[in-house]
Amino acid sequence: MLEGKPPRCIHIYNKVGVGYIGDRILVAICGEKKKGILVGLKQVQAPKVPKFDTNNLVLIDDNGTPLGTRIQVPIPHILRTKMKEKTHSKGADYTKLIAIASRFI
Amino acid sequence: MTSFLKTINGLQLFNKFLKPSISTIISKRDGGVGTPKYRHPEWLPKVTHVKHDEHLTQDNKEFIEEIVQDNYDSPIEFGTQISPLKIDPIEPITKWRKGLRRTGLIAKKIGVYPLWLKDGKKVSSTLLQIVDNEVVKYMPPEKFHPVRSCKPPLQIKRRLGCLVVGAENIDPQWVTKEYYGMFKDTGVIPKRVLRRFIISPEAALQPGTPLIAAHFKPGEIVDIRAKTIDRGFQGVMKRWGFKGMPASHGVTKTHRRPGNIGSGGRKARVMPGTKMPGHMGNKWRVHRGQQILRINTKYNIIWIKGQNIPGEINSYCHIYDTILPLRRHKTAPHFPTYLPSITKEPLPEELYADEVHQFSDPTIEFKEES
Amino acid sequence: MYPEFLPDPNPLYRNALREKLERIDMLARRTRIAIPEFYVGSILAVTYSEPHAPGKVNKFVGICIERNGSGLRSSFLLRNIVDNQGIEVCYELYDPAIQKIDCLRLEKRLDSHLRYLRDAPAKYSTFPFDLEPEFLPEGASVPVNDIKVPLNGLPWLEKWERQELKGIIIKGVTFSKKRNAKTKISAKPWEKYDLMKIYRETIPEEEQNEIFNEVYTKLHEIEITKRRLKHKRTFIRPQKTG
Repeated sequence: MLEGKPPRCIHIYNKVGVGYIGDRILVAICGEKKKGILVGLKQVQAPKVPKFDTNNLVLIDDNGTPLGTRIQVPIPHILRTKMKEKTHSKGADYTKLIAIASRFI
Repeated sequence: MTSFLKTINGLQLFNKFLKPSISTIISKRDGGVGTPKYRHPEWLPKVTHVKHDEHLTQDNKEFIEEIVQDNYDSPIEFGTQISPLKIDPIEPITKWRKGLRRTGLIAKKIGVYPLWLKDGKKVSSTLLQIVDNEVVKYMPPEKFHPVRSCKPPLQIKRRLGCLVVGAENIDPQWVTKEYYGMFKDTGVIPKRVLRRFIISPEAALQPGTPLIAAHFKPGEIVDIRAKTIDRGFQGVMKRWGFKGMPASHGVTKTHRRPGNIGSGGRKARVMPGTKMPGHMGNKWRVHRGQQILRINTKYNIIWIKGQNIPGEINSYCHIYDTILPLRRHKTAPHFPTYLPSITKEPLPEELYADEVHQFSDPTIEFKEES
Repeated sequence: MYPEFLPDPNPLYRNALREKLERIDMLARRTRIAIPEFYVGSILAVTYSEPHAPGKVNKFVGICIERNGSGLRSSFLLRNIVDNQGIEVCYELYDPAIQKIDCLRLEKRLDSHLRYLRDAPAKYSTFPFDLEPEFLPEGASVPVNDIKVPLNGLPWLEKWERQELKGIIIKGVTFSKKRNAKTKISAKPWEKYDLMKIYRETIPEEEQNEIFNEVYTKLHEIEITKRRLKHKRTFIRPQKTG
């Protein structure tokens, strides 16, 4: 019953209530609450930043390690710098998701 | 008079011996910085007169144009000893030292377009064209009475002179006699726009000196004063940035209104200065701390970082060195102004600030961090 | 041919000197990079220096959906589908971080924008990254691609049936009565007769001709100097001494 539904964002870990690329969000998926990082947005972006046809998310746990082993969909390059900046705060390491990404656009 | 103005440790002695000055006073009840007045005061001379068809013959018209050309087309050469002026010549000799104020320029805002910096960032820049700027008059500190508000009475600690600069030439045939009287003695072609710049007496310039964009250098910080765009009668949301009310959820007839305007029974009245709908724009505003990115010496154009310079396109503004203490000049600027001389090399056509990427430079490439 | 040289027709922003300086800057940038002629519907490959990438250089290939802006602000949107994910990137023509713009396939389409590809099947927006450039014979006119793209079912991102698009086929889609009624109300059939609207949105032909003449002579000069430099370089080759 709950497996077919797409994940829904329920909270954004951000002072502004809007999520941008690289933001951590809370998502309701398969009847559970999980954290994830926004990896691609439908929102119109700055020049040279790609805009995707779907909003994409990579599920992570509290330490920042992704729950999956591979990311098949391409990821924007800006995530590299953004994840490095975020890794300083609270000891969580967000750069691991860049290691499992297969392609960058 | 100057002996009475000696200052010791910044305090002014013998202030009661200062002559009461006949200065124009702005009343403080104007609503702050001064509400726009639509009718010019009666004592202000009109610039142009009504153009009647004077039925001149073709020969007479040509003759008048010849005279105009003779009088105004020969610019005052720099360094000439003989001056055709009826006033004492001023010679700028002093070298710049910290604390001296020099003139500014009158510029016309001609547009906005993007420039890129060397690290790849895009920055929008406003183009300001310096249109026929010439010094019209110098008022020494003893004769200059600045406009000041009535209270509190300001103690003027050091008296500064005033330079009147004009921009945009008008054909002298169209000018009224009163307005022309201002330019008669100096021999400067009549100007459409006149502005005052407060300067230290060492920065005084000879009336008739042309001022060009090279007066500033790229990388300098300036203040820009201009009249903002006239937006007309505006509601409270646009004028003061109020949030309004939701568009739905049962809200009745109140979506862009201010809501409450008082504090209840305490004062039992609306406080003066309450933010309400009204006229917005067309006010004098100074934008401080604007950086100059690029200067073109051929067309006299200055590129300023940002697109928020007050005023519409093709309107005038005046630019002068910042008063912000941390961004003032540390190295000597062109003091009192840039005077091209035969001995020095002419400036290159385009001058850029250090961070700006020139379009004729090779493509920006980022190096690998080793 | 190069529509970005024409200024914004809004009279509030027009100033002859600023337009002239903008054109000088655009031509200065064109001496460094060859910006090809392309239209909406052409396939482009853009190589640019990216500070966030490890190799510092990145390439993107896509079909040009729209061209916006005028002067130095002119930009274009490229669309492609990579690994089953639709991606659109906006590039500014005169960005100095762009190293190369190649036109892989020069063609025009029936519409002035191709935003409907977002609601079309994936095969119409997929282009391989290693597409080889196709060269047209010199002097040939730009070919017009007459493809009629069938759109997917509702919901759509925009109301394509209201915009007069010639490159789409609306098949098997039934609109509700309400939608049809609203389309009729919002239709503006008088706009095609509105001459003042056209006047306000375009630059008059005389000015266009002036601008393009100025630009073409400069571009021609740039080409000639480039060829001269090429010849010069070949002659400076050092000779081996026996």
